[in-house]
Amino acid sequence: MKLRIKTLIITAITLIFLISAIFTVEAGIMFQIFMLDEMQDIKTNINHMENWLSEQESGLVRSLEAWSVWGDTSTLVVDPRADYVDAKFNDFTFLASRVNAIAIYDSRGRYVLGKAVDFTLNQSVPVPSTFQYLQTSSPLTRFTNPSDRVAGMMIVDGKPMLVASMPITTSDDPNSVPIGSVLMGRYLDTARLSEVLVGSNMKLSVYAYDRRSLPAEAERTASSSGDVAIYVVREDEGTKSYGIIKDIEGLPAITLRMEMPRDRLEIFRKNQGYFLFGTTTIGLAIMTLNFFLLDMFVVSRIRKLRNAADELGQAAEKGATRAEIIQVESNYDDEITYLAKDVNALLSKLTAANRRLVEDEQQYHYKLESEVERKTHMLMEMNEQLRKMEESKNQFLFNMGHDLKTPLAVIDMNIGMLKKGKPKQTEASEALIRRNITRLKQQIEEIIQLTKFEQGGSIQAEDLDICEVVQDEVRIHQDFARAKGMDIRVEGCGKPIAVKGDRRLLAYGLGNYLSNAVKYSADTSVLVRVAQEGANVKIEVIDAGAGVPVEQRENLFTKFFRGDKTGPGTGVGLYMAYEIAKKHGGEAHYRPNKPKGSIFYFVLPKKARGE
Amino acid sequence: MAKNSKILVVDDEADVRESIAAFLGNAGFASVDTASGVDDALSKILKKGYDLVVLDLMMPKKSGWGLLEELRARKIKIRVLVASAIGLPDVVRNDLKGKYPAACVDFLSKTNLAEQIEDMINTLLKVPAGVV
Repeated sequence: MKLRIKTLIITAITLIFLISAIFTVEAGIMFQIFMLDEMQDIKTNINHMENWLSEQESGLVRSLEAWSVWGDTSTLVVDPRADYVDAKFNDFTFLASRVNAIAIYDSRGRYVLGKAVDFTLNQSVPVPSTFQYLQTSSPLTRFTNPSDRVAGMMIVDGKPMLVASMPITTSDDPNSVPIGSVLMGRYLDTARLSEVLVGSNMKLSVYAYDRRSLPAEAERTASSSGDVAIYVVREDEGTKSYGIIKDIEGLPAITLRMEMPRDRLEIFRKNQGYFLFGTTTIGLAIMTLNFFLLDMFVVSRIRKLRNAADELGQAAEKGATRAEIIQVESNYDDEITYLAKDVNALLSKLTAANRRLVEDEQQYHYKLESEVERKTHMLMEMNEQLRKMEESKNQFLFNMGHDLKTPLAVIDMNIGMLKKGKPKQTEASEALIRRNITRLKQQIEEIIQLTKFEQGGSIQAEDLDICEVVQDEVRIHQDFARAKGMDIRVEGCGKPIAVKGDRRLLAYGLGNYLSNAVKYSADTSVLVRVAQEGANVKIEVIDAGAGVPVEQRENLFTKFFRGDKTGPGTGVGLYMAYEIAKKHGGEAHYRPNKPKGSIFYFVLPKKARGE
Repeated sequence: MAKNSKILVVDDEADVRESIAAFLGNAGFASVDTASGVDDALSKILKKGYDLVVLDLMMPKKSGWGLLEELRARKIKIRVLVASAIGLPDVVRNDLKGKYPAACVDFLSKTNLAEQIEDMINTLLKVPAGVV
């Protein structure tokens, strides 16, 4: 799910919770306020009624006092004459004071006379029986002090009535003894009482108190004055409250019942709907604003960051080596900006690391290339060497073929001449055949020895006299030398010189020196000089031939090296001589002879004493 | 005529040139000389003049090829039988025929020296001498 949708959902959920919470709390508080207000209204109304009743009582007392001048009323007690009574109880008195009944009692509380008027009928009616048969002990008639007054409510003939009474005296002396009392009563005007009520559509009814008329569920509550007991019954359609008023004797006597419809609650409930609608509308507006602000300041920036990261990723996939820096919004100083900065720092580090990596890679490649180049060069050199060796080997085989064919051809020709030749020729042919067979043997020996050397074979050492080897080889080569008109002499071989070595190899090496000396020098003698030098013996083959040119001396003992490539020879003889000396723990060398010619020599270790 | 032809055997190996000379002498060739190298041969040719030269190729200092060049350069009319023990006779024969196509030049491997030298010399002597 995208961040924007998540934000929208979170905002919406928050809004729903917020509105529900506000609505619930508000409804609760408002209902509580309403209830308190209602109770306050009840109390206020009861209070108003109490005050009104109290005012009515005071007014009644004043009317009573005005009417009941002491001389008049005392006369009524003492001598109630009819004409006087009529004059005194005229209709005006009742109308002016809105009094419904007046009664006179004697000092013992007994009813003397009275008059009653019904204003609706506008005529006299019999005095209410409650007045006529008032108990003698009633506080309304029992006065001891002329200034005492009694006022209050009582039920008269089943109807609530405001009553006031005062003593009747014979003089205005405050110490005079009352001789009776006068009682004035006014039926409670419910319509007028209703006028003091606060609140609309209130219905007031007043009736005699009866315990049973009070609903069981009614809750008692205290009035503000405390004189009136209030009971309240709350129902859905309205509230009924009962104010219980005590009578003159302090007993519950009158019930004031107020019915208060819940108009305001209805209005409140209707308003709740508006409130909900209003809250939701405002909430939606705030949510939208909130959403847009979030989108503008957070989501869109995160998206931008993400897009930038995406582009970087794509660039990296395409092989970009350097990461572009993300645009940082300088006007915001918050976590997203820090994130962008952090990403940039990371990118810088990555770029640096990448650069290093690329450099390392380049360096590695460079090294690798140069290494490959070096190795290739080495290989090419080795290849060239191999090619040269191959060439040399081919040349060797080529020359070997030549060298083998030559003595064979000589033998071949001379065999033919043995039969038909003259005796002198026959002799010469025999010598030629013998010599060339020797030569063939030597060449075959050379091939065998070379093969052995190539295979890394070891020498077969034995105790031998080096002079013996020298003499044997000289004897073999003397033939060739003589054929060329040359001679080979030996020097220094008076006594045997013991060495430990391979006879065949040493003979081969020496033979090679001798055959070269005979081959490359003409008409001169060859000297073989044997000399002991400390623990070594030195055998030199000295000729006075052409010698070895300076530039060829270095490679003389190299395998397949031939000074004159057009001439005969295989190029292995000197190499083998050198290797043979080495295998015997000695050396093979060349040095020029003076004034001309060559000296090839071996230095070999002598056999140690006791070896 | 053939047996009176003057022949020069050029080979650095004494055994070989002496054997060839003796062999040819035995075969009836009256005038056979020898030379141990190219320079020796050239001076003898210039001095005495020969009908045919038996020439070795592999010789120290100057090879047989060197003498062929000299002969061609000096426009000497002669016949040459190249006798070599070189490893690959066919290659050398082709090489020789490529460079010296004249009828007065032929090749003989030393392997077949005893069997063929007499016949080849006789054949060659029937060809007129020419510049190689």
